[in-house]
Amino acid sequence: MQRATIAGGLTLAYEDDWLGPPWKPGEPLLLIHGMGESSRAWYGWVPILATQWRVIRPDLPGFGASPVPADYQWTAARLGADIGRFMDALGIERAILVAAKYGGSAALKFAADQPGRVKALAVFGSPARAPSASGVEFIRAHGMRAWAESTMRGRLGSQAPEAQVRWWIDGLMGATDDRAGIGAGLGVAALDIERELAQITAPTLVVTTRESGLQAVAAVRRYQERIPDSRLVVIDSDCYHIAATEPERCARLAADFLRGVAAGRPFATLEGA
Amino acid sequence: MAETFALPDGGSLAYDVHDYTDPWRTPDTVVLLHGFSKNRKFWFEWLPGLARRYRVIAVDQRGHGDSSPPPRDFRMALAPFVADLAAFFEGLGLFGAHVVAAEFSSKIGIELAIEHPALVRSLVLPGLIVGGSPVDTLPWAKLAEEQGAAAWARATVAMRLPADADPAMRDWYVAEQSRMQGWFLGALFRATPHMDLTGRLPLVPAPTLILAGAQSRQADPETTRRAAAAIPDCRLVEFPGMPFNVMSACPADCVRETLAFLEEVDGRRP
Repeated sequence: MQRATIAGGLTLAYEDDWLGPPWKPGEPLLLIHGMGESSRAWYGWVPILATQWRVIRPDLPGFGASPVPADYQWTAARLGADIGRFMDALGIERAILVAAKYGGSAALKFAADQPGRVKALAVFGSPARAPSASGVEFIRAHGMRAWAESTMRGRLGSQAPEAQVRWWIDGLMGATDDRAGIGAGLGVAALDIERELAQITAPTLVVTTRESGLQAVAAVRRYQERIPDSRLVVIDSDCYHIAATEPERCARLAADFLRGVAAGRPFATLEGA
Repeated sequence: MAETFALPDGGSLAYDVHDYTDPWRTPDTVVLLHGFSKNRKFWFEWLPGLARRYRVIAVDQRGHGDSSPPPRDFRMALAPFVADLAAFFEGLGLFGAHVVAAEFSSKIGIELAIEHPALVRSLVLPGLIVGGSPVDTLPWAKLAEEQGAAAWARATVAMRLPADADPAMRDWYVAEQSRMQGWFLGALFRATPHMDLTGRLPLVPAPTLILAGAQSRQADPETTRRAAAAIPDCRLVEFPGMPFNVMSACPADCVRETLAFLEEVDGRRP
């Protein structure tokens, strides 16, 4: 685990993996986790992506090993801007962004605000507008762990093994700082970036699930269609966090898309596209 | 990111941990030991396949890569290398690790398994060498001692890599091998032909997989077959058309055979 101090004084912990030939530099690809998660959520993606890209996994402020900032707003705008500052701290001008859940909302906002810095974008289970239910009041009353427990089966679906569900509750989301969880929950509740998505110039892959309890396919399609160079992929699943339940499948989908971007035909070979 | 392990005699070993396994499981550990003049970065093609199923630790041997150079009175025998690794394993709490020991390190892996059986659950030996090399290494010892490791690396890289290898790859190989101390490289060249483990093979207690190139010059296939027969619980896989350094020449095949072997070994666990 490494650490970077970004403009504004925040410290972000991150992992940096390149499994390609050591005599070549890997092209940077950032994996951005969702609310209540951390860089650890991406374990299944790294072996698939890091042979072709330098995979950098920051812990967003307040999550994982990144300290909880004393005075912070977890809006998509602020998180997106801090993704940019993190890239600055690592000397990365332009990067591929792959993100899940609220991390994808932040990535979409960043790509809209600073289009030149994003080479390609893939978001999994990400909203562009606040969902109807916010977990904030529950978290305030009962804490992150209880909230994670009450929502986990919906998040991971009926097929996820019990051991995975338990780890996601106890080891990952339930271990999150309550203040950061509440802050991010408030950010999700205030989310409204649909109108800005037309500013995104990067080829963008939007992935959602058919039976997602969180947002209907129609809602996702509506925001995806605002992104000029984009495609929607809908996966049959009753979970809403497909990045977590099917990491290899999603990583391969992202890799196919990115190879297509490199070849000038981003969506040519996508399953379900 | 590189970690450092402090050895009892004041030296240090550099190592990386790669673990992409499901976080709710407790994976077994696989330790990767590189060959002569190389270092832990040479394993990169093995990592994606192995580290999704196992916690993988790649370590730089003494005097290689980022590990500390040996003292001038370092005993040129297998025992000090084995002692380094035993200290490393014990220091990290690695008991019953699977050990992949390539090329020159195959001798170290064998000795580790014999002398410290509690540390080694199984052995995988890509490019096993049992006795001396059929190639005369004395001129190389002199070249390294007189002109340094870089001179030897540049002079011999064409033997190590295919003619159509990416020049950047060739440059990288030379740069990495040049990091060794010339006197140490020379001393190893002089000492390793005398490290003959033929008589030790029947003592290897661990289940063992040998991965061999059928076109190997450094370890002739017939000698390797005899070695496989002498190790009590041993499987030999030969890769047709492959040279000695199978770990780099056909890494995907090596990883496939290793994963299948490790699964069988795990299946036998009481």
